[in-house]
Amino acid sequence: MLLQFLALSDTAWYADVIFPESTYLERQDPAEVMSGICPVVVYRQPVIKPLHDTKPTLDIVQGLAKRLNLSQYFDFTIEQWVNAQLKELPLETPVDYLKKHGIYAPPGFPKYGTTLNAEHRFVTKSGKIELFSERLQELGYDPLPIYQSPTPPPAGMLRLILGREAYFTHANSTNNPWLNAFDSENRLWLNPVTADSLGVADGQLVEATSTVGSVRLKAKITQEIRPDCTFMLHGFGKRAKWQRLTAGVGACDAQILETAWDKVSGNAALHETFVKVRRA
Amino acid sequence: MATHNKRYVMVIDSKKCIDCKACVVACRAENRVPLRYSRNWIAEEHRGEWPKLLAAFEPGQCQQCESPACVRVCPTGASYQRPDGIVAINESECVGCRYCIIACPYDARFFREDKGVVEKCDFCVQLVDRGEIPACVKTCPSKVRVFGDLNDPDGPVRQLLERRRHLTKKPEAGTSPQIYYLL
Repeated sequence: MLLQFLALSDTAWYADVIFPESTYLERQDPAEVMSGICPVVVYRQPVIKPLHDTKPTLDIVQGLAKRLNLSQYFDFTIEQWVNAQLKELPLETPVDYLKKHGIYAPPGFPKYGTTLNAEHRFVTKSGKIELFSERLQELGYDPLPIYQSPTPPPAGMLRLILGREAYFTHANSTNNPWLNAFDSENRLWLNPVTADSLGVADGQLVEATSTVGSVRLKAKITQEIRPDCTFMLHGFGKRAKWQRLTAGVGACDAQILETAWDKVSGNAALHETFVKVRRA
Repeated sequence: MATHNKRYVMVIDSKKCIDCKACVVACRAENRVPLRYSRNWIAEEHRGEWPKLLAAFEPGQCQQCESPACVRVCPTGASYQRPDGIVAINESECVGCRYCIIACPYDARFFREDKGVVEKCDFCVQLVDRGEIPACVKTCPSKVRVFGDLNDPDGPVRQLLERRRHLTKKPEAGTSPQIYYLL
């Protein structure tokens, strides 16, 4: 497996080869289009020189291409690439414009009631936001979303809830020392009623087991969780030793998370795992 | 154009606070505050029994008092008040006696063991003097804090305080704190 990454994460730990990419503050990226009914062009420019021996994506790709005798396909600079991308924008000097403003939005930025025309439609059958979807009906799904109560956990088990703290971005900033100081070890949340029935005291080591794995971490007894659910903060119990503050600290929710997804949207369904909790 | 003396204050709308602690991190970065200290904080309140629960967050820091007890007790003049109201510390004058830490009703000051001086929030004077706003105000994603001149009748601070009910913390301490908390 090849990986290009900014931080030596758990994903990097699984990789065979790692290419050290410059961070987003250190590199010029090709222009990017943020799509939608009113798309915009975004232009990322370096604000500092790379702090370490890292490279932007294009340099890494060109280096690989050279090894593979494919250089002729990547025979351009990042400036030439960006120029080619931007040349059709309805601006006199698009590159200069984006260097100055960082973003290009077509004129007539959307205002409520002003985008009711053929160019600004959703890709639904009616072109509008659909509460009742004929397309879903044709495919054999409920045309109108119907609420279904979640299955209650089987006896002796708890539903595992996933979530974040506002000061961490997913799993990737838990190792930042300034942020880690706010919460340096995740714990398994248990309602006092649940904790009593399991005979678990606050701070005691517990084991949470699902059909795919088992983790050990300390219990946190709190009113802020339902008695039939449990929660552990995302982004701890990492494997990568480079993640100094979080490697082996607390536990990793991914190790016990079962695979589930929403049948209509395809979104990952992250709260469908039942776990058995006991004193470790 | 009418001229007036500036009086910098801050208005805090705690109900908007999501406890992301970006203000704490921004302050640390701007003012080079080491990890074990902090010039600002978010007080948390958690109450109730499931399912009837309450969680509330309230940012705190030096209250930039109009009549600061810390300045009154400082034997060297290191703690001082600027004409624009900001209470600041002149580190080179501080002898580390810590009288001010005891005098502060808000527990907003701490002693820097590494530097031998007392430190606290000074509204990021280095930024304010360049016409900018304090780091915590600038970074707040939910716009909890509003910083400005209380004496500017058209300024955002006065507009807010005229429209919204508000209070100050521990007014009984008699220091006339200038951080206003919206209700």
